[in-house]
Amino acid sequence: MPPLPADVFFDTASGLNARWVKREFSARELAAGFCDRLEKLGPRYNALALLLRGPALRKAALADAELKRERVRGPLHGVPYGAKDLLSAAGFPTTWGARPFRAQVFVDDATVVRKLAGSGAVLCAKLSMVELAGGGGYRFASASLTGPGLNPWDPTRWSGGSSSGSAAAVAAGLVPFALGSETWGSIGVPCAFCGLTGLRPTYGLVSRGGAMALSWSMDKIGPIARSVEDCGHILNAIAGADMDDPGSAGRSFHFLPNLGPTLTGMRAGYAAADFESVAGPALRPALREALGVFRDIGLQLKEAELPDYPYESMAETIIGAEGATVFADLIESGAVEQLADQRQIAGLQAALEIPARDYLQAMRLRRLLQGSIAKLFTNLDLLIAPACSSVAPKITEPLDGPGAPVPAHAGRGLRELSAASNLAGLPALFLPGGFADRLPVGIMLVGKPFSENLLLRAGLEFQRRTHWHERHPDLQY
Amino acid sequence: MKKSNQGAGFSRRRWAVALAGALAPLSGRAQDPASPTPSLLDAQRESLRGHQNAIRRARVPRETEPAFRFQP
Repeated sequence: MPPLPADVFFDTASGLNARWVKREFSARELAAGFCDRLEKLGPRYNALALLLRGPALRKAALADAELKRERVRGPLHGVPYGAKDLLSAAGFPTTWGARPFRAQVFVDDATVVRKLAGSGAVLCAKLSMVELAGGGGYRFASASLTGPGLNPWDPTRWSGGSSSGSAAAVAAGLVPFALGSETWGSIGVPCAFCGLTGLRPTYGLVSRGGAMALSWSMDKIGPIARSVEDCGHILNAIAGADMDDPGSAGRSFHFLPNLGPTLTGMRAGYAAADFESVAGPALRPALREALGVFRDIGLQLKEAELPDYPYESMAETIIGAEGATVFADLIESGAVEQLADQRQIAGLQAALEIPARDYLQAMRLRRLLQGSIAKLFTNLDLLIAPACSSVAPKITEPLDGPGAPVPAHAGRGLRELSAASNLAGLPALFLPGGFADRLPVGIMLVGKPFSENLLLRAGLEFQRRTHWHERHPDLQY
Repeated sequence: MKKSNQGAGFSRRRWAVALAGALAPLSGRAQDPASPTPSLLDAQRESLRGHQNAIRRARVPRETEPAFRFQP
């Protein structure tokens, strides 16, 4: 097979699909090229859980045969991708990133894997993750069966968690896109640290059938990709009602970027203090510039703050109680002690003791929160905030430190938007927003439930003007 | 091989079978003892207690009581 052009590895999914349709290369050549790269570079970033070269080449050959008959299923047809290793692929190990489950094999594909197969996408690899998606809380980036996820922008730094391998693999050009999952921060943080575009759908829009459950009332599955357009196409493929997920909202999604009201005049809530004093000083110029782009697009920026709730305590209690229930046998059998991170072990053990009254109180508060957030959105169309207040940390740094103190004048702002929006089940779009100290900086857009098309439209316009998403690391170090 | 732990497909028995299967290859391979020290476990308990106290301080009206209804 002739070598693929070097620019293939950092092209978008829809771009690769278009080139495949023009017969610039075959899907088999594409899959083989990405598999070679996964095999060679995946271990360098601790991103690879399992290479699926054989099935990928067979699936790609089928795509080529369809193209020969002029049948193109859509913008993901013939395009390789990777899946976080908490999504089952029938007959292959699905480790959940954790030693006690390293021999685990499921009989069925996860619903999202099956849906992407139906779109003609080619699953090339299972990608590493933080063990059990970090449900017990973890202290070090090394809390994974495959070691710490290393950041392609600087391999002495973390790629973020818990979708660590999904983000590292896309950033390093090992796959054009990947599936990740988020319970609280697990798509947003890796996207911010690795300079990628990610989408966390509204709770219930994407089925979790065949995915590891951590917190059934908060888990979401979404794409990690190179562009907003790709995220739209991927969500289009994976969204929809599913009997295999009791949390399914029974809603479908159609990516319609050109329909809907104009962005000009839309009301976007933000908190100036989040950009100017909560975020680290190195990030502020990039964040300021990104905010200015949204202003130039025509969004009407309005100061906003979250309603007063104990967000972190609610999220910790709900994820802790549900996660400990899901993994009760693991904890009680003692097998939990095979996990890599001491704090994660202790966190799961302690969470098994959360009283029912506290879990129920947190869930009651959550219902009130949903009402308060709905009220906030009566005057706003979306919220804009920094995705993280710092760049990717060194892999040796403890992750559970107190963090930088928040200045007293900062007020509540939107700095707990990650916890609040995950608790309320709101969709979020994560965008690369420039660089600080040569490391990526991320921006987060949050919308009303099922407002993904609006977020995507705002993100598309942002990427038309900024091009940060087209940057990729120079891997020649 | 087994079903996932997501939603209705999850059961304690399936878990036990799956866990036994997953652990079988590891039997006889001594792991480094990874049990967290009592102080780490205590610290985690303390942290959770802090969150519980924060939640308990919040006032919640009665109409948010979780409901039980028979499904048709």
